[in-house]
Amino acid sequence: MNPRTKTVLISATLFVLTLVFAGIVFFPYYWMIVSSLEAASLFEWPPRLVPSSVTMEAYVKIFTERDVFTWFKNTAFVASTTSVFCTLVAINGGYALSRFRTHATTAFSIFILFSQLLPATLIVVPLYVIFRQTGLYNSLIGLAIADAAFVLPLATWLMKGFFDRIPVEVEEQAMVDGCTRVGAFYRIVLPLALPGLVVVVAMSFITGWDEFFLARTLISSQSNWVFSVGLTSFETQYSIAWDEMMAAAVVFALPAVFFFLFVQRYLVSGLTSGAVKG
Amino acid sequence: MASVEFLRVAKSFGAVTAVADINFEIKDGEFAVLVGPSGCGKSTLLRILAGLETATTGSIKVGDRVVDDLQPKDRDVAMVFQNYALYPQKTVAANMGFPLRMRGVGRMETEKRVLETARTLGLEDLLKRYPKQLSGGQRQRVAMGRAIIRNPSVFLFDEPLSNLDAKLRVRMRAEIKELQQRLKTTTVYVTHDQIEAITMSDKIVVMRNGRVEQVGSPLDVFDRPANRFVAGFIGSPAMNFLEGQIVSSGNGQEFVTASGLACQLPDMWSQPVNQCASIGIRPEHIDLAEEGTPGAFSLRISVVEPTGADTMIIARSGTDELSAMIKGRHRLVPGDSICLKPMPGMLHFFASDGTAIRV
Repeated sequence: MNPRTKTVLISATLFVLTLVFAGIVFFPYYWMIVSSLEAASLFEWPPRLVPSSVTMEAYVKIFTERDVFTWFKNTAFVASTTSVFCTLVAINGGYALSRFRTHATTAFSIFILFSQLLPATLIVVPLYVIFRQTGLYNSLIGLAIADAAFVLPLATWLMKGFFDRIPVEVEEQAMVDGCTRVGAFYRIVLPLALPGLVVVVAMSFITGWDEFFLARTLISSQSNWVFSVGLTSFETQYSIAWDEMMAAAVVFALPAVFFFLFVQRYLVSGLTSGAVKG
Repeated sequence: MASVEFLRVAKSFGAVTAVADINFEIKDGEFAVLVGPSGCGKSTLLRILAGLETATTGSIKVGDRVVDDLQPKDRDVAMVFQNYALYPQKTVAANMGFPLRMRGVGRMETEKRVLETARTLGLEDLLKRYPKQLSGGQRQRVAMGRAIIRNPSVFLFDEPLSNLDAKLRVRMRAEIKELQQRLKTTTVYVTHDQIEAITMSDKIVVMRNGRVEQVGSPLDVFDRPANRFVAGFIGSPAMNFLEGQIVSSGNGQEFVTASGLACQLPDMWSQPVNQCASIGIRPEHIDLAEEGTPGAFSLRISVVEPTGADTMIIARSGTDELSAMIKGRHRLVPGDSICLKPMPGMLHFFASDGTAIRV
């Protein structure tokens, strides 16, 4: 076999494999959309990949009979607040860990990474008790704080990695050129860490958007339900409204998908740029 | 413009003393070079002057102002770092205009001054480029432009040429010196390259282990080094040192090495006999001599390095080794015997503690 044919064959095989894997990944999303348009096909055998009839009935129902707008509004609030909390703390914490190196900050860096090892189920009970005592229970701000706390260790480390790659001299130059330390950070250093910032914003927003476990535990009243909790309400004692649940899931997923598409260019460069020394 | 005065400045990092008891003055408009081997504290001293480090004790004056408690931005100094520290996200014009914008200078005025400065440095065609699109020399010029644009009292340079290739380094050396002579701004320049130090400065400050070994004009430091360290550090190729002792001979007093090389001491030698532990001879102060010339050393050639105009010879006798820079070209090969004679009056004498002995 000549080398050119071999290269073409390898490329073709890789392409087909990629398609297969992409199919596996995307099929649940496709099935979710199909089921939201025609629930009857969900349990048929052999499954019908293309629905025989399309109806928007489920979508009309969830917007008229369910409190989807409230869930949507609450989720958007929690996700945005989580993102703001997390980003503010991560950029300042990451900068401090990167620039002010002492034994204490090194120990603290390792300590916060360890906190990431604890499963949510272990923390949720003390968190519940603390939230009840501090009045944060059943509040959206409280949920955002809890969500942010879970993303923060990783976010802080990510930002620390980005700040580590920015030469200290650039910042010192800005200080000689007329900035205070804080001014040098916001005018010079932070714009250079923009890919990292986008990763942290995206990561914390998506976590705040789709988090379920804490939302189920720390929120009690229906008026404060977020989307992930609202989705469970389609399951009643005797039936599950699959078409409505799937329609709600589509509505729930769409903003996150659009957000991801918007930031994915930065996200990929941000996640990989820390991998090799620049 | 302003003078700079270091008053008993010291800096420690925990138990490590980076600089200690620094006491000297740089006059208004002077080009001072801090030179010394890596880790001698010269960059730390510059950073203390810039306000990027705080002195543990002592004080610094820039002009009439004590600047110890001032932030870097308030010290009226401009700095050029070794890696240029250009802002990667800003264009050349924005980089150069940044110090002016930070001082509240208007957009129009900034643009005008950026253009003027860019013209001076030959950067006017590069103003819209980003630092990554520039060569090393161009980046260096942008960094200098950013420093001179706001007309500071003092320029600080931290090894600014060490990232450039040899040819460009020589050119930029001349450019920096020319610029400083034109602007007459007090300049403190840090380097470990003693050729840079000698060629550029009005004043050299030689440092070792956090302390100042000697302060003086370049030629003064070259001709009259305060001690063996300064003598060996300043000058290229480095000074030769021969260990030995003074003995009385028929003609007066001679310095004799362990290998038996003998060197007549000057007539005016009046120091105690046991004080001189070594002598120093610069390679360019050694001549070829005929066999049997009084005061000449007989050695065997180890290495011959023709440099084009001159010939560098390394020759040995026992444990003694001499480097000699002989004028012109010579047909010499390793293994040949050679007679070398130090030029009269060009010897340096050092006591056992390394201090220079003046004769």
